[in-house]
Formats: sequence, structure tokens, C-alpha cells
Amino acid sequence: MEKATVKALLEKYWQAETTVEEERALAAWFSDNPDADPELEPYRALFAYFDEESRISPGEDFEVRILQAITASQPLQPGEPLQPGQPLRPIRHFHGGLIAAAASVCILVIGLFLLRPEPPSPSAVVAKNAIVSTDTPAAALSVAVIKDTYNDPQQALTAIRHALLVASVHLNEGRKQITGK
Amino acid sequence: MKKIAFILFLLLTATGVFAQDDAIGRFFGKYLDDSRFSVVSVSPRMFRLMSKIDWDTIPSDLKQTISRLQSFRVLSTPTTPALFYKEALTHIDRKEYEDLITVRNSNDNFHFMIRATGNTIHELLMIAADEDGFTLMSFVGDIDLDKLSRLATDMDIKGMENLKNAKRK
Repeated sequence: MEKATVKALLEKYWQAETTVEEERALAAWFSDNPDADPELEPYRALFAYFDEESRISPGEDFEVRILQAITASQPLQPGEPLQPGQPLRPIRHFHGGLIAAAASVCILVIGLFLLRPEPPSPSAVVAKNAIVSTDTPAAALSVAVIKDTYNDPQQALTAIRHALLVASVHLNEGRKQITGK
Repeated sequence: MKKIAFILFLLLTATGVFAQDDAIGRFFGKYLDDSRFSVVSVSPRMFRLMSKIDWDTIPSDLKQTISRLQSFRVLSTPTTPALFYKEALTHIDRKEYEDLITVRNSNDNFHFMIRATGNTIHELLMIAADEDGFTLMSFVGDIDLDKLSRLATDMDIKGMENLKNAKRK
């Protein structure tokens, strides 16, 4: 290959317009002509560097070495050395503790809301203070809302009768006022 | 639509029937333990027990009225009747209790209220205040006002006067 052709190809090379074939030819020419034109000397060094670098390979024990490097840098479970060739699994971070904490806080809050002590209702107050005149505690609970003043039905009847008559009298009085009689 | 209305009606009726708590328990519960007040109560259980006693001497109107009652309660006090009367009127939930009759005389104030669904009266509440004191009286059950008013008219005037004089012992 003539010097002029090489120069032209180089020019094309810097424009990134050369084909793979032409690049190979350039590299071959530079390696074949160590004592070429001093004008082209810097380019020869460049192509020699490319050639040199492309020959470097990882080597046959590359995989073993990289696995050893990983084993050395990763903390492993005691008694469980990573064997070369063993597939690596992503480390799982277990957030169970955090989730459990969040869940228990939720349950606590909801529980407190649901079980918060209510102010005693009037009927509950009555029930609590009632001296219920019933025979058994179970019966006392079922009718505890209204405590009995009387133990004797006859007395209760008399009281009711009296109260009904009072109500009746007043009711009639009111009706008389309305109708103007 | 009709179905929904029917169900709504049923629900309303049901709540009306099963609301056992009377106005005294609901609005005046705090006075039940107040030493200034005296309380007379007859529970639903006592009403059931009453059915076993001898009813032969009881007039039929009275008998029927009582047999339809579930509970009865009176709250009364001789202290500051006018004050409690006013307070009572403000305490009662007007959405449920409607005014029936109000009487205001020179020395006698009383106010009848009812809790009702449709034509059925579930509770009759009498709030009264005179020179003797303040009275709150609640009848819970199925109340027939005509029968109730007949109770007094059936009696002779003398008996009525006695009753009026004897109502506070």
C-alpha cells in the first residue's frame, strides 16, 4: 500500500467513513511497516496500542477469580461458603418486623376507638343503682332498667290506678279548656 | 317503591314498639338518684305479675287500660316546681314527643306529651307543676286516650275531688 493511499485512508478513518476492511488494512500496514514515514509515526503507535489492547483476554480462571472476589467481599452465613459456580440469589430484606409493628399499631388504634368507655347512659345508671325486687340475679338483669317500687302486684295496681286517674282528670281538664266547656 | 315504603314503615313501627326506655329514663335519668326527688316505678315484670291478681272488682275500662301498659314511672319533687317544669320542657326531644295538651292555670301547670307512630300512642308523658311540687309521669304501652279520659268521667265528682286532694300525700 502506498503512502498516499494510507494517508487518504487515514483521512477517511478520522471522518469515521472507513469500512471494517479498510480499518483492518490500515492496522496491518502499520504493523507491517515499523519504519515508515516519521510523519505517520504517531498513528503507528495508536494502531499498535489498539492491537495490543485487543489481545488482552480474561484468562481461563476468570470466573473462579471473580467468584472468589465476590465471596471475599460478601458477608455470608456462617458455615455456608459460596461455591464457585453456585448461582447467586438477590438478598431479600425481610421487613416482617416493621409490618408487624405497623399492624399492631393499627389494631391498637382501632381497638381503642371501638372499646373506648362510653359515658354511662341514664338507663345504665338506673340499672346500676337499682335495688331490683326480683328473685334471681338473672331476672334482675333482664328487667333492670326500671326498678320496681312495689313488691306486691296489688300495691302496684293501686298505684297505677291512682296515677291513671290523676292523668285522666288532668287530661279532661285540658280537654275542657280546649273545647271551652 | 311501595316495598321500600312498607319496609320503612315496618322499621319505624318496630323501633317505636321496642323502644322500652321511657322519657324519664332518657331525659331525666340524673334525677332518679337525686335525693330531692321521689320515684315510683312499676316495671314490665310487675305488669305481668299483675295479671295473676283478682281483677273482678276493677272496672273494665281501667282493666283494659292497665292490661295494655308495659311500664309506669313517676318522678316528683316538692322543691322549685316552676323551675323543674321549665327545665323538663326543654329536655324532651321534640322530634319524638309531640304536645298533646297544655293547661296553664293560676296555680296549676301541666303539659301532656305523647310519643306515637301513626295512631298508636306508645307513651304518655305528663309534666305537672303546682304549689305542691313538680311531677313527671310516664305511661309506656299502647295507650287509648279516650279510654283514659273516660276513667275520670266514670267516677263521681266527689271521688274526683278526693283524688285531686289526695294526689300528694
